[in-house]
Amino acid sequence: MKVPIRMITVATSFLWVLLIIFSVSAIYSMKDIRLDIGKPQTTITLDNELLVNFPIGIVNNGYYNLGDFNISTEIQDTQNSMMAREFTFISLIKTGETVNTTHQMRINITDMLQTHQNLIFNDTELQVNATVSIKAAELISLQVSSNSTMPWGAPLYNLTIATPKFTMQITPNSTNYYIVAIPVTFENHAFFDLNGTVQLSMYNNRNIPTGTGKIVLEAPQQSSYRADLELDVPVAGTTRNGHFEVLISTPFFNYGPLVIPYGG
Amino acid sequence: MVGETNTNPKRKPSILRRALKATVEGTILYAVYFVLSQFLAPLSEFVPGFQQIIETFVTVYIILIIVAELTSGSILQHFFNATKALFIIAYLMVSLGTGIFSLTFQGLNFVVDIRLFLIIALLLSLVGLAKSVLQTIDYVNERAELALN
Repeated sequence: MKVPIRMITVATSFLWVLLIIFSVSAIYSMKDIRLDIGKPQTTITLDNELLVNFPIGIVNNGYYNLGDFNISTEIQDTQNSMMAREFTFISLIKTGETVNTTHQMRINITDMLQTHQNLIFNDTELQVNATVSIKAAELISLQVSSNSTMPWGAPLYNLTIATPKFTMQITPNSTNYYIVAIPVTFENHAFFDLNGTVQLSMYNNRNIPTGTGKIVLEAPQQSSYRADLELDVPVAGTTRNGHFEVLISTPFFNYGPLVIPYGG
Repeated sequence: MVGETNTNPKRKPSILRRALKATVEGTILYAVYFVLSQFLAPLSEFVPGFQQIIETFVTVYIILIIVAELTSGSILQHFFNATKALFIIAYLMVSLGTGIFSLTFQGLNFVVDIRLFLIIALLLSLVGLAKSVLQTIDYVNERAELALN
């Protein structure tokens, strides 16, 4: 029995030495792995999608190959509801190799604003969760995650639609009409210019449309907008009370109808 | 990790030789630990208590090696060899737990998964324990043969 015991001793000792040297060198070589994440670059595509590109550089000067390199980012709103999620996967980074890649986040602003309508009007902080996972030397898996916030600027921040003003216009042929003016103000805090239209429709108390008007909306990013929505409505058919419906249409989102009663 | 020793009950080495062998083994093991700890030193900054875990393990392991060597040629040697193997298994399971660690450093959450290392180390420890049992059986067998003769 001595020979088998001796063989087991030699084999286990050899495997222990191998395992310890391998593990220690794998941990030690992690200091020679560098991950550089550059400044994000944002662009808006023709499909109204927000593209956020993160340039990533991975330098593997360690002793072993790196496998299953994965970067995942997700953006959540304040209620922790998922808004966007993207992955970048690199199967193998050999030792001595430098890999430059781009982690791209594609966010459909239209879908996002339709789902999270409070983002149209309210500035907020979006949660950005980033996770980087890597497998060193096929033995040790490492995952690093961080939580940060990203400011979100509302495109229709502090939207105010003031009380309509009625001005009667008397014409010689007795087809008198009202000029209805509604001041609209807001601030575009978004990172994109806002172009579109604001359509106003007036309804009498029998819910019959009495007039419509439309203005072109042009609000560059980080600017204040103020305009008077005007429409002409014939006196005949106009009742003491009723309501207006405001519809805002932009390439990024459609909002409305916003109902504003008039005349109590 | 459990070293091969003289299990022949007929040839029990002198106490001086056993003490010398125990000293040499202990010194070599400590030297290996000293060299490897230099490589693992940066890890101690991130993992609180890491240095202490390794130091405790090495201390107890060296003591068991010395005691096993000093009791070489007796049944106690096999008892301490088995204790060494069991100590490795127990220490791995207690200190490494499930093999997944998480810690927070400068606002970043780190999760390290060393389950594969843990499985290999546990399997090797089990082989070491099995070897100790075989050595004990061999020793008892030889003692029985000696008694019969």
